[in-house]
Amino acid sequence: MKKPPVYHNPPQRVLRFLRWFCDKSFLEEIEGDLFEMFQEEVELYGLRSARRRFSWMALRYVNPYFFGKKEYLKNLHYQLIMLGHYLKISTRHLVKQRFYSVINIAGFAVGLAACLLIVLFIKNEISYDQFHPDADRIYRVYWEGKIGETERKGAVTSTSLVPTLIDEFPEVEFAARIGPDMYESGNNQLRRSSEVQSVYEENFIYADPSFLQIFQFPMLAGEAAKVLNDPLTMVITESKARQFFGQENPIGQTMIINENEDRPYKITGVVADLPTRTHLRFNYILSMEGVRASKVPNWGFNNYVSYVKLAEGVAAADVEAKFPAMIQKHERPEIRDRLQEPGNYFRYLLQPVNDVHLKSADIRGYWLHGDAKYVWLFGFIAAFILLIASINFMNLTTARSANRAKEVGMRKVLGSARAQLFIQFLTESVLVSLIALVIAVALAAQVLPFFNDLTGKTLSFSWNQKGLLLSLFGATLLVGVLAGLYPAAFLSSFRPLKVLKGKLSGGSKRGGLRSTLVVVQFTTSIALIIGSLVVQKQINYIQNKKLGFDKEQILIIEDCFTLGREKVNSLKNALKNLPEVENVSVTGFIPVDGYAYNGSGTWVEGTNPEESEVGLAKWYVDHDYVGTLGMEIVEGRGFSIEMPTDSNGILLNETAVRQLGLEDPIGMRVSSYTHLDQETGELMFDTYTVVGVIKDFHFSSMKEEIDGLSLVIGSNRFNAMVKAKTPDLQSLIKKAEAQWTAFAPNQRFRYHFLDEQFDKMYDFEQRAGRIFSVLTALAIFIACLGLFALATFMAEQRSKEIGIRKVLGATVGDVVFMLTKNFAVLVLISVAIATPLAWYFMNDWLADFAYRTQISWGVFVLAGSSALFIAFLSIGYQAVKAAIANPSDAIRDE
Amino acid sequence: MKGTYLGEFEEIVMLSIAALQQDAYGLAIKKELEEQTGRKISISAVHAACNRLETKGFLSSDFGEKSEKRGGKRKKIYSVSMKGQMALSDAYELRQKMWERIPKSAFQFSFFS
Repeated sequence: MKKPPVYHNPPQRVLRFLRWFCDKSFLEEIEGDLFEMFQEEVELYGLRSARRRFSWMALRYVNPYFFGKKEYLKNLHYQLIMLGHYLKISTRHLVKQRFYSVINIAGFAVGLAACLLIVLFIKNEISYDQFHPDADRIYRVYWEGKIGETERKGAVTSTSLVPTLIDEFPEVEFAARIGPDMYESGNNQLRRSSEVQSVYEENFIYADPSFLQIFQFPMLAGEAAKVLNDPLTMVITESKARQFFGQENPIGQTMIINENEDRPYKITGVVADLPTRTHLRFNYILSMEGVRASKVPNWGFNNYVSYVKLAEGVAAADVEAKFPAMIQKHERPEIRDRLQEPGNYFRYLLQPVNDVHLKSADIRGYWLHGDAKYVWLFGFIAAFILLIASINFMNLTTARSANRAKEVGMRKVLGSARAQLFIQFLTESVLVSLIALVIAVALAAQVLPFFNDLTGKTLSFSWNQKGLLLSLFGATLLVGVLAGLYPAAFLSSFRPLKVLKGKLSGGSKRGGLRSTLVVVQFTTSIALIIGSLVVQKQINYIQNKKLGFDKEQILIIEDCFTLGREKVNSLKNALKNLPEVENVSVTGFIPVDGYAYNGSGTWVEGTNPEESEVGLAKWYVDHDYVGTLGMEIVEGRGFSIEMPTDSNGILLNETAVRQLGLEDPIGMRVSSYTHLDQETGELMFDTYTVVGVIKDFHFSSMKEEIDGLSLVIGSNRFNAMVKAKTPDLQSLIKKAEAQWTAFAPNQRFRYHFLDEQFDKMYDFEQRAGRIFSVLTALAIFIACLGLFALATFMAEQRSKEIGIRKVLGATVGDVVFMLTKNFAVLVLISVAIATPLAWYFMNDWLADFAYRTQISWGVFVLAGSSALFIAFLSIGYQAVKAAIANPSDAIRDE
Repeated sequence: MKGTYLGEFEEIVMLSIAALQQDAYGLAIKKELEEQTGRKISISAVHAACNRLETKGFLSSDFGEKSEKRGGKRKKIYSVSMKGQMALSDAYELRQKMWERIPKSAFQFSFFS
C-alpha cells in the first residue's frame, strides 16, 4: 500500500492574519490555493524558504479589494442608532430611579471634585522651578556627612565653595552664592534716601553677580550680567519698584536700609516679580560684592546657599565624582583628619533645582519647603475617595439588579446579544460619571477659594488648562467604565428563561461581594478618621507640651535695633515701668523659628578645640532674658546686673553641660568662637565662666531633639520681649505703642505674640492636618451616602418580610435590629482591619517628630465608635421607617 | 463598448481559463499563465482578477471536491460565461479589424536604407 503523502503546515500566524483580513467570500479559494502551492514550494525550495515565500504571498492580499466590507462597518449606521437608544434608555432609567441616581451622581461628583482639586495641588507642587530656562542644568549644592554622633544633610555651604567651583571646574558654566541670612538679609526697614519714613520690607537676600545668569528671571531694567557687579547695589522686583517709585524710573535711585545712612544702596536693576512656583524667595537682591567676608577664603564659615549651572551636556554625576578630590585639596585639615575615622564621611552633592521644593525635607537650609510625602499622601486619599464613590455605584446597581432582571430577560428573548446589553449598562455608568463630572467641575470652581485658604496656595482653574481638562475627561470615562464593568457583566449574564419565570432572587444573592466592597469603603474611612485624630493629637501635644519657658502673654516688639543703643535702653526702662509689665528683655534670640539664631564651636578652656569642640547654639541676650521667659535654673544662678563679672559669664543648658562633659559646671571656664576677622580670615574666640545651668527648653521645632545651648551677655537689640502681668493685652499694646512712637515717631509699631509665632512653626503640619480632616469628612460622607441608599433598598426589598414578621409579633426593636445588624457587623470588621493599618502608617508619620504623642487605644475606640455611629445614623432612619410602617400596607397587595 | 472592455491581463486570464476547461482553478491558471507568457505572476493577482471578472459576469464558478492536498479546502473552478465569451470574441474581432487596416508595407524591414 502506498504511504499517504505528508502535508506540511504553512505558518499558522499568517493564516490567522489572512482569515481575519480577507473577506469570507474569498477565503476558501485563497487558503486552498495557497496551501497547495505551499506543498509544492516545500518540495522545490525547502520548508524554511517556503514558509518565507508563503508569508510574502499572503502579504500581497493586503489591499482593499480582499479586505472587503466588514460586517461591523456595514452596521455602523445601526450602531449609531443603538447608541442613541442606549442613551435614551439610560436617561429614562436615571430619571425613573431618581433617588439612587442622585446618590450615585452626588457621590461621584464630590469624589471627582476632590480629585480635581488635589490634582491641581499636586501639579502645582511638582512643577516648582521647572520654568527656568535651562532648568535641567541648574543645581543646588548640598552636603551630607557624619562626623561623630551627628549625621546631617545641609544646603548651607562655606564661603570658598563657589569660588573654587568657578576656578577649578570647567564643567561649571556659572556658580553663585546667595546669602539669605547675613547682615541685611531677611527683613528690614527701608526708605528712599529722599524720604524720612521707613517701611518694613521682607525678603532681602545677598547674591553673587552671576546669580541672575543662573536664574534668568526676566529683567525689566538693567542687564542681568552686570547689575550686581558693584558693592552697595541692589536689584528690586517690579512690584516693589512700583510701590516706591510709581511711574518714576527707579534705576540710579538710592535706598537706605535700617537707617544706615553710611551705606546707601543704589538700584541698578528691576526684575519681574517672582512666580509663586519657585523655592527662591526675594523682593530685594543686594550685591554680595559689598560683603567683605565673602571675599575672604574660608571653608569653615557656612553661611551661603550655592547654586551652579553646568555647561551643556555635562552630567551632574561626573561633577559630583570630582568633589572628593576638592575636599582633599581644600577642606580644613582637622576635618580631613576626622574624615579618616571609621564611619565618618562628608560629601557634596548636586540637587536638581526642581527637586529643591519637594525633596528637601531632611536637608537643613533656608526657606520653608514642601514635602513629597504629603503630596503623595493626598494623591492616595483622593484616589480612595473616588474608589469609595465607584463602590457606591457598583453596589447600588448590582443590589437593584432584580428590578432590571425582567428587562434583561425580555431584551434577550427579543434578540439582544449579551454584548449589546453590556454596552447598555456601561452607557449608564458612563452617563452617571459624565453628569457627575460637569457638577464636579462647577463644584471645584466654587470651593477653590476655600481650598486655597486651606492649602495656602493660589491655585487657579481655567478653561485654558486643556491638558488638564482632557485628562480629567479621560479619567472620568475610565472611572465610569471601571465602575460599570462589574455590574454590566453581572446584569447581562442573566438567563432569560429563568428571570422571566421569576426565579432570580437578585439583590441578596451577590451579597458577599457587596459586603466586601462595603468593608473596603469603611476600612478606608476609618483609617482616615484614625489618621486625622492622630495628627490632631500630635498638634495638640506640641502646643501644650511643657517647653521649658513660658510662651503665653509675651509681646515681641520688632525692629528695635533701628532705634540705636541709647534709645533701646530707654525704651526698655520705660516699658519696665508700665504697671502692666512684669519684665522686659531686649534680644533677637527668641526661642521660635523666624528670629535670630547663632551657633558656635565651644570647648572647655585649656583643651584642644580641634578634638573637644562641640557645636552649641550661642545666643546673645541681656540680664532679663531668663526672667522674662520664665526659664528654670537648675544649678548656679541666672545673670545678674549686680555682678559686673557676668558680662563674661555663660549659661548652659543641661544638654550643653552633658555634651561638654562637665561634672561640676559652675565656675568652669569655656571658650567659644565669636566672629571672623574680616582682614585675616581668622576665627576669634572668647572665654567665659559658667554661672548657671538652665533646664533644657525647646528652642527649635519638636521634630528635632533639644540641642546644646549657651547664653552670654551681648548686645543684640533686634527685638524686645515684654512679659505682661495682666491678661488684658490690648491695653498693654496701646501703652507700648505710645512708648514706641515717642522714641521713633517715623516708624510703624510692629509686634507679634510669642505663642502665635510658636504656632507658626507647625503651620505646615496644621495645614496638612486640616486638609486631611476635610478629605476624611468627604470620604465618610460618600461612604455613608452609599450605605444609606443600600439600606433604603434593603428595607424596600424586605418590606413584605417585615410586614409578616410584625403580624406574627415582631416588635419595632426586633425589626430595627434585624435590619441594622448586618451593616454593624461589616463596620466592625472594617474597624478590625483599619486599626492595624492606620497604626502602622501613623507611627511612621510620628517618627518624624523627636517629641511625639502616643497612639492610645482611645483613638481607635473613638474612630471605630464614630464610624459605627455615623453608619447607624445612615441606616437607622430607613430601618426605623420600615419597622414602624403599617404591616397591612406591605402585605395587602399581590 | 463600455462594460465589455477587457484589460490585457483579464483577457489572458480568461483565455487560459477557456483553455484549461475543467481544471481552471487559481493555481492552475497561474501556472498556465506563467508557462505561456514567461512572466512571474502572483497568485493574489490571479485571485483578484478572477473574482472581479466573476462579479462583472464574464466568469462563472463552481466548487469542486474537498481535498487533503488543499488543506481540506475545495477548488474554485472557473468557466467563461456566455457574456465572457462574447467579450473575448469582441476583443479578438477588434484586433483582427485593426490588423487588417494596417498597410502591408508598414512593418516591412528594409535592410538597405
